[in-house]
Amino acid sequence: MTMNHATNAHQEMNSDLLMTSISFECSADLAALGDVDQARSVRNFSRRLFVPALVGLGLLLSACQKHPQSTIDVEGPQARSINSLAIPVLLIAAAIGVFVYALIFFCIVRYRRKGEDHVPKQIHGNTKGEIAWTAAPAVLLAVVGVLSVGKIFQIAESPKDALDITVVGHRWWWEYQYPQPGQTRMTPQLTTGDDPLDVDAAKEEGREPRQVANLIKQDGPVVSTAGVLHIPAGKKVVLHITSQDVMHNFWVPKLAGKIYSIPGRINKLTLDSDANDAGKTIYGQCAEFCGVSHANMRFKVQIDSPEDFAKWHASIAAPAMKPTSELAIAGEKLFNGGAGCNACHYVEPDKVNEGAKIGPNLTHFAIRGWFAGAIAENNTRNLTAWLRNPQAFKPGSRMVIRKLNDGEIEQLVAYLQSLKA
Amino acid sequence: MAIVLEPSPNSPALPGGSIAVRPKPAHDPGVLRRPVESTKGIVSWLTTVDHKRIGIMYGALSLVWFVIGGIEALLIRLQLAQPNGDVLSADTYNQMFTMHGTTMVFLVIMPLSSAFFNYFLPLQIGARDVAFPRLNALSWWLFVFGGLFLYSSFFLGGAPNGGWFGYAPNTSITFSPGHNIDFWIFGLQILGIASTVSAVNFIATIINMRAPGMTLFRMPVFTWMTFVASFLLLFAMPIITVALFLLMFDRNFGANFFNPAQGGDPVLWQHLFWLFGHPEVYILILPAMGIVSEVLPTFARKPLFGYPVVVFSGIAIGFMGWGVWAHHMFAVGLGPVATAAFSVSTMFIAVPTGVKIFNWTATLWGGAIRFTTAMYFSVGFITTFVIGGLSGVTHSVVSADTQQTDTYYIVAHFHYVLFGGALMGLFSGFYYWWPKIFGKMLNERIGKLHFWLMLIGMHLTFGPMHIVGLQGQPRRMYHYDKGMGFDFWNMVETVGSFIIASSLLVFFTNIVITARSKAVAPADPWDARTVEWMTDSPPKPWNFDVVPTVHTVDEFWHRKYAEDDDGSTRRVATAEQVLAHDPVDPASIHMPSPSWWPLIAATGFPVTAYGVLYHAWPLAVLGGVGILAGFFGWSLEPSAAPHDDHHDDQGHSDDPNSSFGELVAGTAH
Repeated sequence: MTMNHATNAHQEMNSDLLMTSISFECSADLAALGDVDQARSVRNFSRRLFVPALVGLGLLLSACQKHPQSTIDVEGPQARSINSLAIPVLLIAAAIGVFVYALIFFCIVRYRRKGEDHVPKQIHGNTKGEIAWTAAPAVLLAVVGVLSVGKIFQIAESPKDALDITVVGHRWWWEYQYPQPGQTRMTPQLTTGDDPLDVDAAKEEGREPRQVANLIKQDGPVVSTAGVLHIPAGKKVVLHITSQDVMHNFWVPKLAGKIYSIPGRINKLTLDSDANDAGKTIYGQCAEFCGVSHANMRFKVQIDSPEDFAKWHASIAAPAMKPTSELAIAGEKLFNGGAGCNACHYVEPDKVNEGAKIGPNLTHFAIRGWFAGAIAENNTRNLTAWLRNPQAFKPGSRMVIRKLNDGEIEQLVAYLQSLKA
Repeated sequence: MAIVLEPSPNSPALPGGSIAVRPKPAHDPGVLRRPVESTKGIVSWLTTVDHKRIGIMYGALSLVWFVIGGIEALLIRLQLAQPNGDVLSADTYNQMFTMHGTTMVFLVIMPLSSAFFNYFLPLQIGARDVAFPRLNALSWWLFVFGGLFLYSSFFLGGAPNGGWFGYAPNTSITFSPGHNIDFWIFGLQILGIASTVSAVNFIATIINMRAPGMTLFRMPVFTWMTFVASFLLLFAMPIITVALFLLMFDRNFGANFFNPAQGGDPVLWQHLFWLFGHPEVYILILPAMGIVSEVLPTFARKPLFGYPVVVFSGIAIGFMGWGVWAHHMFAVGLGPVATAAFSVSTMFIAVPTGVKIFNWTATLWGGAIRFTTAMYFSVGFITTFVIGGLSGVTHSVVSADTQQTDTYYIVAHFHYVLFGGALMGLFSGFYYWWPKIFGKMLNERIGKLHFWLMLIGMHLTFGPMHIVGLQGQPRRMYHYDKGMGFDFWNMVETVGSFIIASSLLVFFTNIVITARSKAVAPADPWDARTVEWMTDSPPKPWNFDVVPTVHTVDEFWHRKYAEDDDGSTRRVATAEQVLAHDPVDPASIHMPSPSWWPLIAATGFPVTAYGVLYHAWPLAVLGGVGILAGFFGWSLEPSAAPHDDHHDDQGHSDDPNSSFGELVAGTAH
């Protein structure tokens, strides 16, 4: 009962605060700044001029800057719902801060020592005061606590009618497994089986392969892609998130809070967007330190209109066209032979990343806007630089290739750019 | 072994709990004769068991590590000053932030607190030394060797690079194949032994060695906070020790505690780490809270408002600190019930913290405040800690935390708590107690410059991190892209960090100027309130000629001022009159003799660690033998130096003004 009540109260609050959070959009800096600024400016008289000048300059500069990962200026219902509680709490905290600062500053201005012999009245304590300043914060926090708990359960609810996507963290990129076009549900599970990395060695040595406990098992064939996550606008999406190596953390600040991607576990995260968000590209970032190129484990969420999404979904499930240009045909040969790319990359839509195939599925590489952990736009210049030296492009990258000459690189780039349905 | 007192006709009252042992005839194994007490020469520092000299060494070395950890921070800030910075490579950056965190926690704030514990705990409770002086020396040497071991990694293939939190399975042998993480594991193990051993020592000292009349509720608040922090250490260190052992077995011996492929669970590491890690946060902040609780009443000339409430809120924090660890894991996916429970417990730990702040403010209220540098730093502590505490409450709201965690908003939060909080409190302690330790006052004018630079630098560095955090800048990233909108504030932060660095230069200049100055501090420069001021500055090796009998909290104050029922006061004695006493024959007070064994035993630990790290088993065995030999010699050692080695002109006759101050002055000349 209580919980229901709290949740209702929330929803009302949500709609109220919707306005607040929208009005926050452009003043994100102001909100955060106010807190810090108050703390600072009252502190030092000599900085009375300095601080406002700095703040003014900051606002000026910030106003010209976009914040594609802002947690204040957000897009989806989920992120707005978080802010409907987070921002009032932030403001209450700031108000309490101002109150405490006022008290302290009153004391240090008012109660200065007047001469060596000035000994004030010795007050050892006051029971009523102690009770008051213990009870008041406790009551306030109890209220915030109830709201916080209500929000936890509200966000944890799993929507019934949603599109399921499996998200797998790899060092340092994200793999997305979609159901076949037309289907929406998947129930990925973790299972024990032969370690794909040990299968060949075991066969050679004539022994049973090592068993591992964190293999992903899907109900049926899936479609695998990487880097850019497409979602249909206005529809709820449930991400089933796991990892095949270390811990990662899937974070799209403008749409939802973080959730860890943990090997051996599957976490769920609901993403949603507004119908009029179609066409927006939202920034994402791995938020848990996962090794040398953690900073380069980015991704994008592309919000498509339902029609565009269906079209895109169908296209990535189809095999890629055969290359037609001479360069691209040579590139394909190199890909599957001389350069050895196919040792790690599939170019078949329903093959998931597993075993020795440690690289992303490249079936529809050419229609992805970004590559290499979404750190670079997918264009000829970046691809050339990447193929010339992956480790210089992205420190620690596991893409190991022999040194390619300019002609070979040109052929491979042509082939990669032909990979679409 | 407790303090050794040779019974003599005019010997002062035994401090509670000390054991009177008549020194046995000289009988020590071989070359390692137990040295005679002395305050001169390098040997006297290597073998000392005097809590004050150990405290000074702790403080000095912590400041060295502070400089090194600070340089790492400056490199981090240089790298992030601009988008796509290229000052450091990705891996070097990861080493820097790992070592910055590890250094500041384990080699700076903890040992700096320990420096104050060591020096002032016995003085505040009227004891002559800690309960186990040689064990205290062992802690110190383990701290030395643990730090050196950890930093030797820079020359042996690369420093730890898995973050100070070392999350599995990123720290597993599969994903971190070098020795970097092994140095971290063994370094922390050695430092952990040092901390656990000191915790036992301080607890035993507080329980057993208080001066006559000093009941628990007459103890100064700093002693109380030491007491609480020591219990936290005693129970928290074993948890990280276990976790590190499990990780060591995973990495070195093919165990699978954290390996999901073999059925292990990496989330277990997080539980263990934060079950240690969160109490650790209170271990870092409680000593500073204790210092502030000493400084505010002294300079407001009022008793600490609600002394029992402040003490009990400290104890409450100590207990509640064990029930909030999973708030570091709100994004892990523990399920709504667990996160809800930890959300609520986290909110409620804010209550005792808030109570402390209100009591400090009430201490100022109606006071007669004198603004010394120590007072500046204490008020600076409160004001920055308030911001850190309030931002802490904002991430107890789980849904908000899933946005804030792992961003610079969190970095801002804990730097407000640990830099603006813990370190400001510790600097307050430096300015307040410097005259006690060295008999000279730090320059107040330079001190205030230090304060303002540090405060401004602190807010410039960490204030904007709130903003960029909310704008989505994640932590632990060696670069960020153009167009993310992080540029401006990151540049401001970098400028701020160099202002902090300049404030430290000012502090070190102050130390040098003070050391070179001839001015001697008065016996009671601040009109202080507590027992540590009821002896010479610096204190003699045996602390008190006459151990005071305690009648009340703020014993010293009450001997100087009479208080009427309505709270009005009048001075009844000067500090000099209170301190005056009949001459005492130093020969009647026997302090524990110095010993080589703590140093020898401690040397074995890094040797063993290198042995295990490189799987060089003979070396590991050699280290183990060294440790055992150290403890063996330790236990067979006579309780005092051979009688023949004592000469009349040695013993206690040295000038205690020498020591560290002289060392500093020496380097300055």
